[in-house]
Amino acid sequence: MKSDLEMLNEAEENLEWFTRNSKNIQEEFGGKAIAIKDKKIVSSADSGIKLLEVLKKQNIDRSDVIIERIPPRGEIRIF
Amino acid sequence: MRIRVIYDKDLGLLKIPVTLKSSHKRISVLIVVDTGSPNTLLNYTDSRMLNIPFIEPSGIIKIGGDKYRSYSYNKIEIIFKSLGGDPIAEKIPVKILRPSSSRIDDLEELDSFPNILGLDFLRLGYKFICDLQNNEIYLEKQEESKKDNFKNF
Repeated sequence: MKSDLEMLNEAEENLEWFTRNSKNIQEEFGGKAIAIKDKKIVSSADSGIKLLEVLKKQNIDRSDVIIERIPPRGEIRIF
Repeated sequence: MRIRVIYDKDLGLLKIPVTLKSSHKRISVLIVVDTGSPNTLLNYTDSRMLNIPFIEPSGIIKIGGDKYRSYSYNKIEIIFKSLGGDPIAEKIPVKILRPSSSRIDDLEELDSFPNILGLDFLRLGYKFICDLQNNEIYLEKQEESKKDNFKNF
């Protein structure tokens, strides 16, 4: 089992990679939810709920990925 | 100790990679820093993944024009990484939101909201330093031993 620090290091690397590429990722995956592992997009679906089903089919554990919901291009998100 | 905040300038969001830990499970997530939110909120599917129960009602929360019933839960640990490379565990009551119905559209709408680190987190004693131009963005908490030294000075 991974340590907390290993999980945090992986998450940080994946977030840095995502941030460097978020513009291109938004162009391709805007409006979708994506799963990132080892600085790659390993799955995508129309929503986070559907993405969990896809990950299950791919035998990918939710704990091994970072899930990001990508706003469509031109959409500004205010929470 | 400092916690680095990563600025996504294209999406206009400040995020921190964290591990959420419940008594059942741990998951890696990204949490959006939003000092405009009074509370720390967990994303819907992440809260389901962590088996957080809807037990303690905590009022209505309105987001993006929709109203949701919220529940409070105080047994979650949020684990951050310090700039020095150490894990920092913080316990803070989080709010989770319940969909207004079990219709897939309602669930998906609710699930589109990310994990949010709200203003309540700063009440744990963190300063929020945010210099976007120089990309110096971090949360900082004075260590207890240093605080004591300061008090004795």
